[in-house]
Amino acid sequence: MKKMGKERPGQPGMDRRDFLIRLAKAGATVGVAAGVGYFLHDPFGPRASAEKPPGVLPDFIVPGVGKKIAIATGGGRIKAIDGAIEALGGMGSFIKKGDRVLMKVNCAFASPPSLCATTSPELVAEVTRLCFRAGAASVAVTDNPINDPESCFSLSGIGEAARSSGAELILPRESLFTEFTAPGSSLIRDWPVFTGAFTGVTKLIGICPVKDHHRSGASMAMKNWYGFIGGRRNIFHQNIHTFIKDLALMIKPTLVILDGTFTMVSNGPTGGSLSDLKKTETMIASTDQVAADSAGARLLGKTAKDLPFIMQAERAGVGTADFESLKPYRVSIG
Amino acid sequence: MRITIVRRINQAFFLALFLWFCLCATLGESFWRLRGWPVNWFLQLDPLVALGSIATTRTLYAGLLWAVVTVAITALLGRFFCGWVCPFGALHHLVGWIGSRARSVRERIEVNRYRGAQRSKYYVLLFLLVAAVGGYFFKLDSVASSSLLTGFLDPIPLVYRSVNLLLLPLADSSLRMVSASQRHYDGAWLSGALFLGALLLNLAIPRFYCRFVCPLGALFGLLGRYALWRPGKKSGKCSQCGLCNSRCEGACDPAGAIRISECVLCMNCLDTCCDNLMGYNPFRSLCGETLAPDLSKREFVTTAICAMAAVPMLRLDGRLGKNYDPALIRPPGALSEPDFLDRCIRCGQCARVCPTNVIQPATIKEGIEGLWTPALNMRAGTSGCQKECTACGKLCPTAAIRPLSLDEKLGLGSFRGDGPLRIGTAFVDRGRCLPWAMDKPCIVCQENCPVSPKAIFVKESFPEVRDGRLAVASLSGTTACLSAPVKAHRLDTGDFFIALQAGGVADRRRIVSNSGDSITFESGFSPELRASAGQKFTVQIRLQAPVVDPKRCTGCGVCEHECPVSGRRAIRVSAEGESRSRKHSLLLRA
Amino acid sequence: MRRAGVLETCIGVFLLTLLAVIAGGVYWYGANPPKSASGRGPGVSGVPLGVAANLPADLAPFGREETFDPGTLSDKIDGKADLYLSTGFVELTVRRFAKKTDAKSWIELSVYQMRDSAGAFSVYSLQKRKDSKPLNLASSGGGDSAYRTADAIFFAAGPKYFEITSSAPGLMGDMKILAINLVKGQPRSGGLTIESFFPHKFLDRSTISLHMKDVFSMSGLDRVYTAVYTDRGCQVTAFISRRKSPKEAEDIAAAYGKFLLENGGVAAGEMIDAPGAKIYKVFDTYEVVMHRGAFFAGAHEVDKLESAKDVALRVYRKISEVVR
Repeated sequence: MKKMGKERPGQPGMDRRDFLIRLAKAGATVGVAAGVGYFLHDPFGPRASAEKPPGVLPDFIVPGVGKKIAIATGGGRIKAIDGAIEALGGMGSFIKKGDRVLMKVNCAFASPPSLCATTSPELVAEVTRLCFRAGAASVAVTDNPINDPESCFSLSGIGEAARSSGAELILPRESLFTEFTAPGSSLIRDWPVFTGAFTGVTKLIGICPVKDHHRSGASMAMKNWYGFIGGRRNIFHQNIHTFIKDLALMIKPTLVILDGTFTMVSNGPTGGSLSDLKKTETMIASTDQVAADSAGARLLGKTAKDLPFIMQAERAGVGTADFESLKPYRVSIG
Repeated sequence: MRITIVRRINQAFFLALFLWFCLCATLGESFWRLRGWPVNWFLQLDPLVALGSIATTRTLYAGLLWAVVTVAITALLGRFFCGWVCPFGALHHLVGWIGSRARSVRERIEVNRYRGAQRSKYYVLLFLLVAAVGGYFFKLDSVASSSLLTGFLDPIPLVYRSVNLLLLPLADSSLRMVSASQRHYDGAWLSGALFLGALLLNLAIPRFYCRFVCPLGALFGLLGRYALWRPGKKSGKCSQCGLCNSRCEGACDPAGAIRISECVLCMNCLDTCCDNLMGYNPFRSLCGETLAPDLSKREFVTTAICAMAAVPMLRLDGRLGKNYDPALIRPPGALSEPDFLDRCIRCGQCARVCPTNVIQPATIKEGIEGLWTPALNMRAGTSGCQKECTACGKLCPTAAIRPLSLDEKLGLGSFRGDGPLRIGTAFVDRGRCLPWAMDKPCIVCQENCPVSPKAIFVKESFPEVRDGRLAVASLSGTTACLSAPVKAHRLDTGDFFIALQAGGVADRRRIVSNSGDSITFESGFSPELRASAGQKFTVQIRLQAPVVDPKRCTGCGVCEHECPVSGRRAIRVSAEGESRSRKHSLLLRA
Repeated sequence: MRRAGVLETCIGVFLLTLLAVIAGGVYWYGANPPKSASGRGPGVSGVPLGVAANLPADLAPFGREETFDPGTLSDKIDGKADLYLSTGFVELTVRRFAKKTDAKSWIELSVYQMRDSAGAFSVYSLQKRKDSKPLNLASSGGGDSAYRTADAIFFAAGPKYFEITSSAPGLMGDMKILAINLVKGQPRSGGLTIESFFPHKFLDRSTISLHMKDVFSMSGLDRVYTAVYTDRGCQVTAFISRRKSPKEAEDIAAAYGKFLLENGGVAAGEMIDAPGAKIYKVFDTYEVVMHRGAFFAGAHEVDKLESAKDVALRVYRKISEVVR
């Protein structure tokens, strides 16, 4: 064992030089202690955990495109989404070469695609394909599911669809969440938000099925942003309409896609049986999430006025609940 | 006057001062109550407290600045604190002296020789400091971070904790001078075992704790290595009798190449040297010095790695996140749990000063990291957390419990918008609550709720008592004569009602008195009801079942303390809703 | 045994001196507790009310003195706290005194320290009890600012408003003595009080009130005295407010007129005898608004136009006497 200590032989007489060296070193010790004490001294102690100033998430709205909505009917998912995107001017009008696209799917539950509780994997694959064709450098698919993320992405088929079409998956990890305060929100305050998913992202597409929702009345494009929230987020169910409005204020997407090929009309948002589904054969794509939800509400046999979060979001200036005023592009696919 | 006499006076003085501070750390007006006594002074002088909290928080809170004074004097003079000031050191010194009285000089020389194992204290120090800064080096989400563990072995918090939460309540149990009723502290035995164990080891080897364990001593040893004055031989003409080792407190081998980092400046060698060679000199000992402790690289690295691994291991249980213990109620003003653990040195001052004894040192149930940190136990104390008291935060030497103003605690003045500070929320256990579960009237919790307006409201109901059917032979005015007898006075407590049900209508009257065969009640039933056919008489009991309004409840625990279900209370405070963590909130704040 | 050298002894003495200094420092620190950072909350107040000397001989203090500040006032008087808080409340001190012979007979003295005497008079005037009798606290000078009910005395003096309530009948004598003594200790407001601007004829003096904030529901209108007259069976509320300058009085009169017009009032002519005085009809009542010198004055919500004009004119003339 090597000894780190050194033994010094005694030196005869008083060693002035040694004393001065020690004086310098001891003086330095005192100086460092005093300096550390001076600079780090905190006479008052910590305050009540001060709230961070509101943060801002990137704005993914493509300038100049404006508020548009396309509603495609018939023809199955692939043709319907192709038709709807085409009607809005093609994916090229949203995605430019080199864009890094984040696709927020609804992958909340570990349930099979046939139950339509989650975003359809074929839709994920097709939109990914459209993005790449428009020149996207990368496409990432993400959600912060309610059930275990791994099983959700695998059982819903979204994981496989993303991989096979060249998109990467961003699974929620604690390190990707930061305590975030949304401007103007009374609810999203110092709350973990999935901000890590936005790193490097230049375009955001929300893509989800149209579903009945027990608490909020409907789960559609705006409610889909719930998946960007972490922590024990179900506490917000106590005030769900305001919360969905706050989400819609916080997230500014390039495009939202509402898949109403089948609409979950009962037992939402989990469903669980094919009998909960109704064939509605509608695909909605819009740059205005409020208009999209308002159009989607029709598929549930509701109107915007039945769903307080739509009216709140309109009042907050997120978009318009009167989607007809946007003169929807209606595409009928035979 | 020999310097050793002065040293003894010093030790006695500081020990007495320390005990005075322990005695005074309680609220009150009289001279020996808290008033302005600087009862935290020894903690503030302790540079390990300062260094530890700098490592975890990068700040030096208020009075901890005193540590700079200690560091400065140590750098110039050596480990003066250990031999002259430290109250724990004085106790070790005393017990070691008692243990050595029967020893021969030869035995003394043997027992006070330097042992290689004395380097262990440097590893203790290293372990604690690396654990405190480890979080900077690697971070696994919320699992790994730094943790301030110094308080377990730092002698100053240890001696505060032991005297305040063990010796004082024991001594006071028959004297009844310090507190009006017996103070209880959870898990005091463990604290006591460490304290008494450390003291008793002095009988085997004097100053055992100081030599082998004390991380503060190790820190002083490092700080004092350049001391300007140092004990040693003034001349090389030494007879090598070895007597200077016989009374050496630090086991620093003054006879040989003196180990400066072990020397506690007891100055006994000056007295024991028969040739008067020993002195406290501005030059190095003429028989040589051993400057640095015998640390090896391998041991150093092993210790550092263990320390880095220790905190993540301690935190793998997820207590700081989702798996938090809802039974852990921190005092008002306690920081959020990770920040709290970054500061708490387990000195027990909060538990000592708490007027209701509701602040308790947490036991091993709260994990190693939670051990001896303050937790509220509503059953143990004389009441819950007092509405108008902020003593714990005012006294906390490291601001692990923030100093609160009463305005902030009660949500008044400029804090009106934030509402009162909450330490948790009370939950009614409807399976144990007398009115909810057993149809017995009781609203003790509601009556005692100190919040205004009360956080507990009641739901009134009039259920029929068991076998409540009354066989009424005749009814006249406010008296019912019974055909089947009831026990006299059973129904006249004021909670019982006689109910008359007839023809789909029901009405009830409070029973005023009852004898074996009649019942008298407040006022007569209406003639219509009495005339109706199919009359049914029953005895009902008025119940007021407590319901907690989570918007108002501050979690003070007075209800839990007062609940007459004395074992596992029927209303209990749980950490949900505590102000210090938004993640534990129960309700959305509007 | 080794003998200590001179230097060693000197060092020893020095160190012991140091200990003495430390002991002295600790003692000084302990003996001079720092002032509590928040001197609030019901607690034992260090400042006595100064009533001990004024206490009737058969009363003795009992219980502790409680103090409340603006933050805690609502703990003591929940519903009414706003009235005080909007009127410049500083501190409430509550103290109880019991009869030496009978502990169940006690009185409670509440002293509301207000920012100024106007504030004290305002809270006094705005919560006058219905079944009250005016009380003359003899030497007080401002004897009109006091009244009693069956079991309590209320009065304002200087910047303080006092309430003395009792637990049992038969204490009124003691309460009066205490009140008189308390009034003596208060500074007397010299010079002309605003009450002297209200003409005495037909005036019910006990109705003089001071409204501090948002008077007549008009936000920003403050410090207005009102008094009720009975003119030919018609109740007339006259009001007077002394402003800083004639300009301000004129501006306020204009602003109040505008406020009336905005809230359903119509202009109903002017008063010839009082230059600048305007009459408004607001629904079924009349309002006279005028200014004279630094005074803003008028009559408020009067049923009969003639009565309104009469009283207003008398107020105008009374003010004119002073302004001239």
